[in-house]
Amino acid sequence: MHGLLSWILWMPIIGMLGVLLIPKEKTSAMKWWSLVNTVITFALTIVLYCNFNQATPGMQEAFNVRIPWIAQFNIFYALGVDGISLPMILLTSLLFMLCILSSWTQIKKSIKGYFALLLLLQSTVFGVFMAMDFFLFYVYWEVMLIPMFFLIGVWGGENREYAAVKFFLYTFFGSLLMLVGIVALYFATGQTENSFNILALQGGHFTKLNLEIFGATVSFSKLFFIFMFVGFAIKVPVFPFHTWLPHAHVQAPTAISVILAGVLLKMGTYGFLRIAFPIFPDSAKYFGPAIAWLGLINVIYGALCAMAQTDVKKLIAYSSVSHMGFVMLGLAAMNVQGMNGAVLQMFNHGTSTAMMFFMIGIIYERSHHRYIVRPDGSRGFGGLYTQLPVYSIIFIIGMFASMGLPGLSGFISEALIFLGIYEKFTTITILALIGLLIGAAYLLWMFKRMFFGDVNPEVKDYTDMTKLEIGYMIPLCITVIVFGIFPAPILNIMKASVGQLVSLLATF
Amino acid sequence: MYLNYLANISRYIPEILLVGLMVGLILIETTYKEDDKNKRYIFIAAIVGLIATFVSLVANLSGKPEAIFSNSMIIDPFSTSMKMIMVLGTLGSYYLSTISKDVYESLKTEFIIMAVGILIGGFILASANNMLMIFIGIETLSILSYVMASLKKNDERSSEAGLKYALYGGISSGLMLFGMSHMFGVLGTIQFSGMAATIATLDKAQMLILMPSFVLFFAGIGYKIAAVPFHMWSPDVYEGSPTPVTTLFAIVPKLAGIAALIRVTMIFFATPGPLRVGWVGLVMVIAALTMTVGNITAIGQKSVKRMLAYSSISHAGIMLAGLVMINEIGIRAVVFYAITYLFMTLVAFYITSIVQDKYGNDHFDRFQGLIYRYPFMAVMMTVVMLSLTGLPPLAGFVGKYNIIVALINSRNFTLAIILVLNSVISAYYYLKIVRLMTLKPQESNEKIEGFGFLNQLIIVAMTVPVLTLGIFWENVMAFAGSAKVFIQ
Amino acid sequence: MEFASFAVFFIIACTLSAVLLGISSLLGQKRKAIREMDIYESGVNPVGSATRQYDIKFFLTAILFLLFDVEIVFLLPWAMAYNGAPDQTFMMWGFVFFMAILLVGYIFVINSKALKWEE
Repeated sequence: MHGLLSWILWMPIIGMLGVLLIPKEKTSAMKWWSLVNTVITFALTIVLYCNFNQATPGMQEAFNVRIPWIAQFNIFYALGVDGISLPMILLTSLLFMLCILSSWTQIKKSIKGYFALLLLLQSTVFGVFMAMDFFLFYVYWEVMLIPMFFLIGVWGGENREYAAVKFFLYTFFGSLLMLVGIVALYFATGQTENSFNILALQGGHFTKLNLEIFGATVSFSKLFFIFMFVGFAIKVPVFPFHTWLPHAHVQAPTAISVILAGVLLKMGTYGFLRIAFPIFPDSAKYFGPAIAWLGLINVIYGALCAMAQTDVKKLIAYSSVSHMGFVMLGLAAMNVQGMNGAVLQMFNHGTSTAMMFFMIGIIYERSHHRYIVRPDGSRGFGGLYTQLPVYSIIFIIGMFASMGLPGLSGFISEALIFLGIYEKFTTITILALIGLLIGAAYLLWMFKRMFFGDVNPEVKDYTDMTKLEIGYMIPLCITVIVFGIFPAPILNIMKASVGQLVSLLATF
Repeated sequence: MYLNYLANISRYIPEILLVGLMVGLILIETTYKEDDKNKRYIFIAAIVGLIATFVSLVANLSGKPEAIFSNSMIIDPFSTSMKMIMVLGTLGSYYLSTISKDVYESLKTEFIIMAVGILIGGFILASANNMLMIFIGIETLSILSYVMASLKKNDERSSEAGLKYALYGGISSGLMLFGMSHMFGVLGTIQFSGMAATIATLDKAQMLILMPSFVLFFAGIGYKIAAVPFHMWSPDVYEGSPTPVTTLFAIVPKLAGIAALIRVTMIFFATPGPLRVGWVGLVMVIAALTMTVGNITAIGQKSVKRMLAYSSISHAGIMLAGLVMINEIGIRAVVFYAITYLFMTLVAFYITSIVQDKYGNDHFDRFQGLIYRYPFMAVMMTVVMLSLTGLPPLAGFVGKYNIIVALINSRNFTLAIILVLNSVISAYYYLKIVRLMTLKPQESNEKIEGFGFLNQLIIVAMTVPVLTLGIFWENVMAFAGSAKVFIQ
Repeated sequence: MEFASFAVFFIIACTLSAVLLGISSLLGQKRKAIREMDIYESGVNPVGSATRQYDIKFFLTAILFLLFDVEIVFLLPWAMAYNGAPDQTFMMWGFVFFMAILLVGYIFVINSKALKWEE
């Protein structure tokens, strides 16, 4: 089993090399090859799931990989999986497989480059979730920017260049701050063999360390927690650093929006869970209320911005900001329910937002616009419910999952989060409930304007969902419904690891 | 005594080979008439000569470090490594001159003759152990550079470049001599070792005179490596000179100046004291300024060569930041960075030169849509631009990472943060070329003759180190670590 | 300290020059500057401009003269050191080597017809 993680990590690279070698004209060969590749990756992750021991906290010994890479600097090629990263790995492989299917007909130019970059992206995302060496984690974190830049910039919407550059520069800035933190940690541990080992760094060894900067004594732990926080907060995105998100989401093609919202945003919160909280638990506790308030601002501000949007994709983008605010709230709670809820919300938001973006992509294929209300005031859509019944049903499932309706997966995670934060931050809980209400409001209002009412003349020409489109929506529908009623398969994975993290935080 | 000198010559073979090469090329060029056969002979002779120099440098690496010619030059692994990088840079820019239209046909031999002369100057500078040698090295470098900058005889920008370089260089040499004369006056000797020994015994008044003279001395070397505020000549000279000459300028004088600076720093400022505090403060401020000014001014440029000039200013600033540590970790980081900088600069200038030859100017828009016409070349340029930014898993990232490691090792957090912020600023203008090449549609479907199979192969061969050094950098790092400065 | 007298000298020099120039500019007569910007040509009215483009070969000859003259100038201290030096063969060959390099330069100058004046 030791090689399984390496296989999962490098399988997309094999796929990318294959796509590059296929001649430019044979586009369907490329698409089939990529599909087979992602299906194999998905199967491997299912194998990983089945062999995963759900009772042990911490890294699963069976899957650990640790090979010296640059031995002189104690940099290892180290991979590992535990309860927090396994749901993310499953989510990644599922979403990428569906994205290949979604891009089958939607991407029309430079197909070779598109699929090659997409598979490269998948490998780098796996790398981030699996890396147990800090340097390796950083390399994968940065490399992810390159395919994203090109994917948004070449195949995106009208304003794609601005979005791609903004995304790149913003995220690059955050990760560079993280780099300073990484190097500082390397020296603080005395450059031993374990200085980049994320596991060895965990556990709060740096609480007593202090730095002299310009004559003022600053706590090492607090300063670098803030650096790491900014680096991850740009990715989540947390309120002041979220301005790249609407542009990137709106301008990216459908499949890339799905990946961005479904997977890449989770990398930020994963960073908190894997790195910022365990390595600096005292600072995490210290800044806990601040994180909670920032999460609340995310929830309310994202929801209010979403309410004001006329572009459907931008609306869902802001709703992503809002939902990630819930994850931040759960993280700030630092108790069992809250953190379990946060990790579960990461998985659930991935699936439900992915559904929403897929749906918007499908309607964009037909209408070539995304306006709920056109700039001149006329309606963009209207009466879709009668014209496209299958589409509307799947849209309803996605929308209600996003809203947090009981019976669908979003409810479980949000309920757990609220249970978690109620005791510590009661005011925030009440205000977040208002955010939940606003969330329902804008989603239902959007649905009303698009699907109900008089049929818009243009809508009459739209065809309902093709078999391919239904094909890639079904897995997400099943996921959302099944995990809404019976969340145990996902929830049980994370309990042990989250419990370990919570008990670590509790000791500080 | 002369037996001693004869023995020293065995360590001095690379320079002698270069002098022989220069003399031989002058003789061949003037005695035989100009036709294609002789041009080919000259080409082969130059390449063979440079490769022979490289081989003799490798042989020099295995000998033990020593001070030759009565302690006026030092042959140690550090200077030999920097010389190897300089020879590779000259080789690269020479091949570029043979394929570039910027260097006139009749002047292609003169290019290599003067380039070899510049290389000799750089070698002297890298090995210098007393002030006279530093001055000789800088002057040899500079005077030939003035001529090479104005190599495009009929172009007014080229003449302007040469004139600006000459005036600026003359003043800087004068200032440097002024500083050196004061240093001699206070310390009584021009030999670095003697000066370092006397510094320990100085009193306060003498230190007060010595510090400004060190600043003037730094001004002379800083002008050569285009550090702020001595950088104003650099964009005009880089833009006006023919592109192969710019490639040479971006590599050889910069690395030679940094090598001399490292040696001076290691000898004089190894022991703590008020002078060391002053010097470290000076270099820190100049490094920070250089990085920032280079990056910020590069954003507004419309000409690619000018942008590359400003970016090489900022890279020199990063190497200066590596200098601040005055220990082996810093030197190792700087040597590794120099190796990565060599390949990145060569590829960037190659592609710019070939595109410029086709269209006559090097405006950013000439790169539009390159990925549809020449996908390989566009990918190589993208790789090099991203590497210059400092993005993993490319070589530029590893170089910057090592300098950040060295900075944080000696607790220079401010400089590390400034370096990191400058990476983000530089990302903006490097991405501009990448954007134009990949995201915009192509202007025209014309063939660019310079991108023949051989040239593309050479460009790919030069990009391969950029890719591999990003992932498998341990061996080269060990090599950089063995480049120790020998102090005598 | 020992630099006190130098400082006094420096300050007096600066002050004196400044005072002299300042007082003369304040108290002196103001003249129109047209006549005094003319080129001086010994009392006669000047004809033509003073700056004229000259052929580069003069400059080239002067520079080449300078180079080879410096080489000869180096001969003098060498000759002084040669007298009674212990390793005279080595010294001779050293200087021959130096002159040989400059000889190559001379061959270059001749072959590229830099000193040919009529062409």
